[in-house]
Amino acid sequence: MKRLAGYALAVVALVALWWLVASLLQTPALPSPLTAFNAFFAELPALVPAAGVSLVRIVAAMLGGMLLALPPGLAIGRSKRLDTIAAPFLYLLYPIPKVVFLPVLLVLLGLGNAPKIVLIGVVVFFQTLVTARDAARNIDAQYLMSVRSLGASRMQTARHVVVPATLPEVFTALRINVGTAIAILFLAESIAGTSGLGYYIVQAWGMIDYHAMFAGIIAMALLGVIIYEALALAERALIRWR
Amino acid sequence: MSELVFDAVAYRYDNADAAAVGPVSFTVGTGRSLAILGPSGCGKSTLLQLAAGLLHPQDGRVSIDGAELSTPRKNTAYMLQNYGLLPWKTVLENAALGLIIAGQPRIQAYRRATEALARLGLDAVAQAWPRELSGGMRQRVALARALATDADLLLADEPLSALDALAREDAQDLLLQLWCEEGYTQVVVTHSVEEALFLGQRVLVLGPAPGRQVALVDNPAVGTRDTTATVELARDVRALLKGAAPECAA
Repeated sequence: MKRLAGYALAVVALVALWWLVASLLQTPALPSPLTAFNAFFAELPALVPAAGVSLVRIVAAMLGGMLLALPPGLAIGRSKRLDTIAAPFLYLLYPIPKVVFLPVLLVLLGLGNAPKIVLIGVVVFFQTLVTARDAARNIDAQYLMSVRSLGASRMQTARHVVVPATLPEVFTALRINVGTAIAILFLAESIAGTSGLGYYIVQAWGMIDYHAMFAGIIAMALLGVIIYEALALAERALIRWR
Repeated sequence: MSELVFDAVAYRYDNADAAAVGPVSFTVGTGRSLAILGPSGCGKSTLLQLAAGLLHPQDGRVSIDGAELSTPRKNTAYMLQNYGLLPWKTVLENAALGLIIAGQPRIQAYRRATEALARLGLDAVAQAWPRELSGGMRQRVALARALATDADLLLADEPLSALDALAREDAQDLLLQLWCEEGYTQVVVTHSVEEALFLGQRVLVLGPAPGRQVALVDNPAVGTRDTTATVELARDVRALLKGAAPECAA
């Protein structure tokens, strides 16, 4: 309830700010909130399938990127030898803005779902990899000693200590990544797409249909909030001890 | 059965110039209790990790029942300073962890852990998280883990250091009572002279870093507090500790 009330208050404040700026600018490029929300409900039949396509892309990319990054990230964090080998690659690859590879991916994978999912997946992969590595490296030695003294194998240590100890940091990283992932999704869908919310927004912009454009922007914002909340829900379900 | 023997054991950490501890020699017979006493940084915890099979000495030999220790044993319970409870596991899951790691079926492990918790008066908090418990209760959960696994050797690393004075005496009583009832071999690390004399039939006194063996004192007054014998013995042990400390330059 507290969380919902907080959301409601934030929405009211943002809509009020939006209304104020729109009233001051008086430009068709920034319609009033009422006009935009009316357009949003009117455009729902077109927005829902577009949002569905975007949702599938972003969920597949985030899940894939996370699941592929977790095992190597945790292993690198727990092994000095692996870290010595992997660190130079990470230092070189991590700072590169992955979005520059969009043209390469489009050439290699075509215009369908694959290049968008792979691009977002690569971004999530590197951020999860680095977070998991750092979290695994910083596990309290007492927890590790506790299970090792019981004769735990490497797999048992990973299961009983390494994975649960690093989950909170991984979830924090994922929630922070939602914004980046949606920004890349927008870019990928708007540059090379025939479906999805990014494509919908850019199409409306191209036709100077600002009302529809804002309906798309609202839908994309909602998509971000839904994914963020779904992650928060999963976090609360999986990390009950906090 | 578990006779723990340290034979001229010395350990040096990687990249360290000097040995962290050693050479140290002692024997703790089956069902006997040893307290390891010394100033901070003298290698008390290192000795315990060697006894747990978590570290391996560069010199000397650690053996249990005649067999050289090369890996952690399933029948050794190692109680860490913060009790080694995993915050993401409930009290019951923590108590059953040793059995689960040993490969026992979950139902059987939980049944035995439940029995151990009940014995220590913790059945009402079996589903609680460790963070919801007091320091004394966490200590009892760690003991329940040892009981559930039928440990024949309990290694406790300053197990009472986080407790206030009153809770500490209760916890000392509990440690003593369980050791008497269960008959396991016990090694307790402490920096309190009184605690060492209450819990240890023998007290191993270590000098300051690098930890070296100053004396191995027999303690006939184990399990008693504030008697003439314990007061006198405490005075002798303090003198040993002071004698081992480096003298300040005038």
